[in-house]
Order: sequence, then structure tokens, then C-alpha cells
Amino acid sequence: MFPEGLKYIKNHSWIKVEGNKGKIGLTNFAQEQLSDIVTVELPAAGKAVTAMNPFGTIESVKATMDLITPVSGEVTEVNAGLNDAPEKVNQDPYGEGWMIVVTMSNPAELSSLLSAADYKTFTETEAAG
Amino acid sequence: MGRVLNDSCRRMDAPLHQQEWRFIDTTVASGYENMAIDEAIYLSCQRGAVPPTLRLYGWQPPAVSLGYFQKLESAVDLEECRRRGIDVVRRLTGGRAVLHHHELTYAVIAPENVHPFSTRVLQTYMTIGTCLLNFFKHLGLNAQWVALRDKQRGAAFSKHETASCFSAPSWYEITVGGKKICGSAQKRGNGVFLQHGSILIDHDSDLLATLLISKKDKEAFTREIDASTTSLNRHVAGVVDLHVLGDKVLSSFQNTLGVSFSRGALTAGEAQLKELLFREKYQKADWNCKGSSMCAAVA
Repeated sequence: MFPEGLKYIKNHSWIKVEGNKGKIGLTNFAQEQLSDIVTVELPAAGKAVTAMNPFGTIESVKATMDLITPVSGEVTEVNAGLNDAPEKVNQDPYGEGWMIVVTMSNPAELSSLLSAADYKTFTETEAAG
Repeated sequence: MGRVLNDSCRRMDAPLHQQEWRFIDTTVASGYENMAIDEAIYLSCQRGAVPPTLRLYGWQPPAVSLGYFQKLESAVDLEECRRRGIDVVRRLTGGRAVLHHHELTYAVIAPENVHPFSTRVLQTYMTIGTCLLNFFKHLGLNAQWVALRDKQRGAAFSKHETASCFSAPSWYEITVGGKKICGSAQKRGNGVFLQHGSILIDHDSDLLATLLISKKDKEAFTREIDASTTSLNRHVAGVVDLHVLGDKVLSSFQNTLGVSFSRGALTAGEAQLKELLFREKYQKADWNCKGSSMCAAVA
């Protein structure tokens, strides 16, 4: 499941861009690897984030993992519903499982992100193991 | 750090036979120092500054480690730990509480796509678990992977009925006589994984039930721990020397992975980073309590 229209990074985040805002979440590939997600730790609205750096942490029954933002900017929305229902990341990673919205400070960063096809290839080759 | 670090880690993705791994021999340190060392290696690996590493260590004084997200007040009796001289430290990895006393702890830190590892979490557990399984078998134990029935039990326990890690076997963990003898946890970020875990040499169910918090009464909790946990001394006579055990663990990793390990120490950069993490993170109540109202009571 690699929806078109989104951009991806090798750290398994996706971003959906609308204007100067980007909605960010974890890919289906990553949630499948992690299995049942039990906790999602997200930043508060207003926090500044830097591209390719952690913005939060996720814990599943198998591992904890840093959540990496594809773009820099300010967090303007947070999916607080994940506090009580982290399983939404498993159930609907590209929908109700979204994590944060970032108002981008440097949209040029988008040019280095992966397309759906590129990310799919990555998961089938480098990540396949 | 992201992409730059990630790419630099990728440069280390040579076939194993072309890459020498590092072995950091057994040291005994406090929980704060041990966790600082593991994170220093993990961050250094993300920078591509160090090779894949196997580290072995012991704990002095004993310590209870908490999972990254675990709530202090619902996991551990802090006053009892303090009274007994047992430290409480939060791990970078998830999962539940572990009493580190009579044990040998392993840590493996490597780029997640260095063969035979991959971004597939379970495959990493399985690969390291095979090394550990062979170690236990070499000691003469009838060690086995956790059976499916126990995996389901582990999933049920993941809803925090008990704070103890060893009460619930999970995927690719190792049991002897149906009881868990080794517990592991994993952290991933920026293309690198850290997996560390406890190889129990001895265990004290009564002490563990005294220190950790459970919805069950202490007697029932002790029985639960007894029913789910075992340790080397219950199966092998005279297992006391961490270095002897450590050499056997190293041999098992070498033989199972077909990797050449070079004995080494922390780099100067890692040592500096470890000191910083030790001083500014792992000794601090902010980290160990993680928002708990009991914060002032720790460290």
C-alpha cells in the first residue's frame, strides 16, 4: 500500500502536502513491521521541527522507533486521538492514523523526498532483507 | 542529523565478511552508566562513526530498568528500591521493567540493513535470538523459541497487567522448560537498531515481586514470576563468572553470524558522548521519571 500523491522518506514517514502545510504519518510498511502499536508520543502544537530529525516516538509490542519528519517547520496540528487509540496507526496509517501537520519553513526540502514508486522499490530491495 | 547520518551509516553496509565487528568486553557499571554507554554507541553508529558492535555488561549496584514509555508510579516501588540500594533507570528501548542483578546483559548496535539484519524487526530478533539460542545450547540447556501459545499470552499481557518484562514471553524470545531465560527489547531510528537484553544467571522472584507493582497481590505475583521465569543457575552448576559467560556469548555470535569480531573499547567520541548522556540524561529525574509526580524522588 503506497498511495500516490504522497511523498515518502526511507525512515518510513509519509507527507501529504496542501499549500504550505504537510500532514505527516507513518507508512503502512512500517506499521506492519512494528505490529501492534501501543503508544504514540507526539510533540505539542507550536514546536519547531527539523527535516530528517525525530519529532516523536512510537512503541509497538516489538520495538520503539523514532518518528522522523520529512520537512522543517512548525507543528500546527497534532492528532490527539492517537493518545487513546494508537491502534489507528495500524488500522488506517494514511487516514485516521495521521500524526502531525507541519507548516513548512522550507518547501524546497520536498524535492528530495521519494515518490510512491521509489519508496515501494526501497521497501522491496534495501529494506527487504 | 537525519539524512546525512543515515547515508553515512549506509556506507557501512558492506558484506559481513568485509566488515569487522567490534566486541566491547564485559564491564560492570551502574544502570545510569550502562544505559548511557548503549545510547552513545547507538548515536555514534547513526553517524557512521563506529562499526556494528556487540557489548556485554553487568550491573553494580543492581537496578530496575523501565521501558521508555512505562509509567514509574505504576511500575516500581521507588521507596523500596531506594531502601535496598537499587537504582531505577529508564531505558531507551520499550517494554516493561527488568530487575538487573545477577545477569549478563548483551547489546547489539548496527545499521539495520547490514546483512544478516534488515529493517524487518522480527528478522533482527530472530537473527540475534539464534546466536543466543546457540549460546544456551552450548551450555547444555534445552533452550527453545517461545511457542505460539506463549506468544499469544505475551500479546495478552501487553496490556500491562504486570510491570515485569519476564512475566510475558514475546516474539523470538528464548525459554527453557517453558520459562523465559532471556528478555530483549529493541529501538530503531535513523537506519540503526539497538537491541539489548538480559541473560539471567540467577533470579529472586520474591525480590522482584517486592520491587515491581502488579494488580495481583504479592504472593500471586511471585507465583506468576516463578511460573514464567528461569535462570542459568537453575540448570547449570556454578555459573558465576561474567567473563567466562561473555566469552561463550561472543563465540556464539561469531560462529552463528560468521562474523569476525575485534576486541575494542569506546572511541574517544563515544566516551565523551557517554559522559554527557550519563550526566545530563540518565542520572536526571526528568528522564527517569518522565513526567511522573514522583520525579523529585529519583536520582
